Amino acid sequence: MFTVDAAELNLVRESLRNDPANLGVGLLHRPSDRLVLRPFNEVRHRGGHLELVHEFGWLPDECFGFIVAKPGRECVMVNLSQLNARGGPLFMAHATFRKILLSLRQCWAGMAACGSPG
Amino acid sequence: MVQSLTTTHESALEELLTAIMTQFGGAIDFWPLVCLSKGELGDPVPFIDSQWMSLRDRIQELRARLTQHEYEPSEAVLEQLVKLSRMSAELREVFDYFVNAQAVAQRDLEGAVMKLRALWHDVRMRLWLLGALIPLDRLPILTLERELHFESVLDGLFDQFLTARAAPAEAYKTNGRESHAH
Repeated sequence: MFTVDAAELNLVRESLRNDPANLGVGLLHRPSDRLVLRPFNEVRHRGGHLELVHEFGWLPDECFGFIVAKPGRECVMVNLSQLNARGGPLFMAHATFRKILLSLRQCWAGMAACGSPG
Repeated sequence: MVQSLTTTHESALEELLTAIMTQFGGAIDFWPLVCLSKGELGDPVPFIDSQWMSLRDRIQELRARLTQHEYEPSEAVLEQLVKLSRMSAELREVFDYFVNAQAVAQRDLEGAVMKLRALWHDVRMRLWLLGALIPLDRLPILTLERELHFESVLDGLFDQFLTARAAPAEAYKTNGRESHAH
């Protein structure tokens, strides 16, 4: 599993709940297996995946990207970023993305359990 | 009126020029993804409008800051600001084609991608020129790595739109559903 900061996940979900026109920027840094999430409007200069990569001092080639949106009642994760392209398709390998989804679901389930009564 | 800037004022202007360049980079790296997602991220228009207005506000903030503290910008600086504002309006027009990428003629889509490339080159040059004309000690930063990334994105963007046009809806894997685009 990848490392997720529950506070980052919560921030994105809250941000999209308050403003559905906003999106979440998601990154996977392969060397550290760290997942990073940030509301698009809170990336310092709104530069998207690339700016977030540089904010962490990582290299674009070390990272994959995805997007979080709330087009309806639920948040969705979409496998889509120019970081994934490298001259090919805009999505990363399905197995990697599946692992990202599992890591995020596990993190969210843990948070829900922490907050649930009893 | 004075012609020189305080250090604080100069730092704020340097930061703002870099912010505008980075945000314009976001219009290349990120905004088109929302149009390419074919609805999986929701309606692209509110996002594009909101980001475009934020960029326009930053350009207006630059104009406001340049006339602060009794500093009088030269005619050449004011001229560049007018051109920068005009280019931000043209950027929104480019995205009119991108949000309607499924319906517009292929040559119009290709023209919009070419226009985005021209705008990017022009914005970069004007921001550096503004920095030199004001004049600032440090010009807006664009690393070679970022520059190459943007060029690579622009090289592939038209083909990405063509691929998205040809693919069925839900072309990208979302929340574990299988992709049809692979």
